[in-house]
Amino acid sequence: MFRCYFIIFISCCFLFLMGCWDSRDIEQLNIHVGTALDKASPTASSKNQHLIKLTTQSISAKPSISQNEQNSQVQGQQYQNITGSGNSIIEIIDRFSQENEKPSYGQHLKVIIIGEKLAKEMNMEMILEQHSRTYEIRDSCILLIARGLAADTLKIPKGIPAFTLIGIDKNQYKTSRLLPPLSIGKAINIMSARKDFIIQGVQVKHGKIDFNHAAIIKGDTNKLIGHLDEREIEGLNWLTGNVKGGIVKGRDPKTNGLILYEVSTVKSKISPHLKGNHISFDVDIESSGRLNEDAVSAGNAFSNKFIERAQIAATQEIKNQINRTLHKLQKQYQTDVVGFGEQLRIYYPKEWVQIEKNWNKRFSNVPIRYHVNITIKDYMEKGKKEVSK
Amino acid sequence: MKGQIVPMTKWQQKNTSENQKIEKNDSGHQSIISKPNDFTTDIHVNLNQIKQAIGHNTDVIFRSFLLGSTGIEASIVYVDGLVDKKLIQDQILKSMIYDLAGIFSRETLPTPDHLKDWINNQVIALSEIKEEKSLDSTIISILSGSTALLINNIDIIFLLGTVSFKSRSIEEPITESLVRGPREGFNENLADNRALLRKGLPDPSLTMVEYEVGQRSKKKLLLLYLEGLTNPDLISITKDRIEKFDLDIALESGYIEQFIQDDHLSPFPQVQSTERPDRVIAALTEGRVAILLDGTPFALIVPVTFSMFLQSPEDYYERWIPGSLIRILRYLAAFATVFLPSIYISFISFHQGLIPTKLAISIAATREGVPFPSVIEALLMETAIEVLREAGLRLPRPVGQTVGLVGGLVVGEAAVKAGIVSPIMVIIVAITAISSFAIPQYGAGIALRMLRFGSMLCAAIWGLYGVILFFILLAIHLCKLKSFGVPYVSPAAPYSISGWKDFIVRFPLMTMKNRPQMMHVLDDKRQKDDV
Repeated sequence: MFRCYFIIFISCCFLFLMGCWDSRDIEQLNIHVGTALDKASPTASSKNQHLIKLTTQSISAKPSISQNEQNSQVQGQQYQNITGSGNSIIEIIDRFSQENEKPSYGQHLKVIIIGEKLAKEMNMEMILEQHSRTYEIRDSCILLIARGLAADTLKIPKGIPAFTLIGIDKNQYKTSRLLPPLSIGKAINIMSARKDFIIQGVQVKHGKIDFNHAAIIKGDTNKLIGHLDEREIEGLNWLTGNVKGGIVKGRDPKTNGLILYEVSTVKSKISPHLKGNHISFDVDIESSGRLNEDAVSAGNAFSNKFIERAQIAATQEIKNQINRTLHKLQKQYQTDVVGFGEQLRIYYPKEWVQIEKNWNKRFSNVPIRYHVNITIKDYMEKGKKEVSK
Repeated sequence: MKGQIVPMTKWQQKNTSENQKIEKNDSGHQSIISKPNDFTTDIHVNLNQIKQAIGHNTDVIFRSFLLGSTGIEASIVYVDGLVDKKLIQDQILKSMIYDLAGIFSRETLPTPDHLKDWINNQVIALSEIKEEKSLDSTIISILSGSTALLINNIDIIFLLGTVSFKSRSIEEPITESLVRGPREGFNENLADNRALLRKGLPDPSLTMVEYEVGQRSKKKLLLLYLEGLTNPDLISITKDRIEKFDLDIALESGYIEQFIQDDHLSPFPQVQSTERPDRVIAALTEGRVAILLDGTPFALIVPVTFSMFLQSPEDYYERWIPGSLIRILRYLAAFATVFLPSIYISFISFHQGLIPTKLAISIAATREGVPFPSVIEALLMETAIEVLREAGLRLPRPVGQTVGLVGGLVVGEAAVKAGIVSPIMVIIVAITAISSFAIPQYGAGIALRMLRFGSMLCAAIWGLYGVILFFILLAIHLCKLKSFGVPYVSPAAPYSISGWKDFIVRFPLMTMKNRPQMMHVLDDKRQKDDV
């Protein structure tokens, strides 16, 4: 009998786990879709020196349909940004509640942009501490680094900037010059492992967003140390096999005419070699695709010789890109963002324990051989060009 | 009078039991003896008895005549409108007046017994003829369309079956119309309905047990089952329940349903009512029991399971793939009917993070300026649409459509424009309403619509958590519920693999070789195994 009452009592307690006191209708929330983090501009009083300036973007409610009919031309900004500064992120967001009628709501946060300056000066793990700890922010939220002020990326006049940013970040299947999206969940994992990593960079040029670089983050400090440009990103993608699409612009070795190779599949395999104390790597890259465009006047895609030439052209271009990238990574930054160390760890786990400590230094001198194998499977709908007499 | 409803597989049986009843009433608890005769050999006394009982009614016609040249006084009593007058003229009056004259004359008066035999065997050319000694039964018979024949010197009354009532022709069932399937439905005449079933199932094992229900209405009730197939326990349970209850009047099979159902408090119907003979026949061959009541086109089928309410005969008439898909669609519709508004409410008020971002933003934009919380908004709209449905149903058809149009379009549009409700709420309510009409059984649809309000309240108080609690509560109730001994949610619980062949997906007919396991039939083979 007691047991029965106890079960009923427990069941009733379940009803108080949640209740109407938690209810808040959706239109009463300030749904944040993007957050930009910048270094706070220095203030006069050095006592209250703030570290972080935070800008969040939320969608401003469109006027309802009936009102819209009269002034459909007048289309104001679809978003609104709120800015605040402070020493910690939660402090800034709490402050918003004193200034806005609607409370902040972070479950729809899609993108976090970190300003270059802040990333250079502050440990990324510290910056993202609150975002990674709270369960309100999803792990799928995407991380970007902005050249210049991060807040500027959320201020472009057209559309909703936060959505534009994540939209571009998903275009990897169309171009090889974008890094695969880095979610905050993934970034936190990498940072906890103290590994070097690379974040897609974004820049605002004349009121337009441009994903034109990538930021290298050093693993031990989690600070930004340098950038890769577009072509170097391409080379990096070839090394990691992260190319999902895009074209390679090569030059015909014979006529020096443009040949454009469109990538459909890429496979890359890094094989580490450890002989005594000597480390070396072999990277095998295999790609198949189609001939998309050629500016070779006598180019005849029906002939295997021309196809071979085209393959050579693409291979050469890819090798150039890889070469540039590796040079920069090994010599200039001495960071292994490709994941050579990871492969070494997998193949030689015992030896890795010793190597790990000064891996970055050794990495700068490791010989890396790369073999690119391009197969053109398809020349699309056109073969021979009619040579005008 | 408890136990007025008495099984009467034979007339004889009925007579004796009714006599026992009358015996009890008249003189307390008497031992069962042969019944006394209410009538005398004097026709005037007998006529007076009847006249006293029903003679004040203008529709009761008394017609006296002489039996040909014998000079024996005779009289017929009938109710105008309930009898076939032509039949009375041709088969009763004519033959009594003319034919008897040729056989008997004033000189050779027949003895009463002789006359009785003659009337029974040679004069009256009617298929139904009955000798009655009880005044009460005589009066009931007259009032239900029989013609009473009284003859002087004979102390019994002949009841002649002359019932002829204009019944509706066999039409397409309105509440259960199908694209493909027989177009005939039951009508209000029990004989017609019975004939429809006999025609569809000319099987000697089809057994019809007749009962009489309603102390005053005296309606005939038929219990149908297949002898040797249907589980005898089920038959005895059903018989028990039918015999137990006491009713003044049974206008519709709904009266019966409410007396024989298992759980009065459950929102779910535990008896299926149908207008379709094919549905009844299918149920009978599955080992179920059907109940027909005179005066209503709705037959009852017991026991039922929840899945039966989401099935339509068309599922079996169509090929199995479209049949299955449509059935799955109905399950989805049933789910949407109960849970769509509540899920919407809980998403809007509690779990905004679960909505895709762009949808969340557009919902937030449309809800901007709506003065009510989503629950009030939903309750308002759901109530409005229920009122609309009810109003459209009651009004004559052309007006009903107008009301639907005015209510649905104009009010909805105006409410959105006035900013009282959000357009998405209107969409949700409309989808819910349409889904609820996709449920083939009206009664089940009502049950689900009712539960929708419960789940909406749970959603408003506890969010998705409350909706899940409500679902669990509902599942517990459904698992507990039984209809005539058969678990309501079988074959899901208790689980039977073979039952799933005809549950959410309707398997090809070839694979359904056995009758449903849950029915525990005596002969479970529907098809030969080796075919």
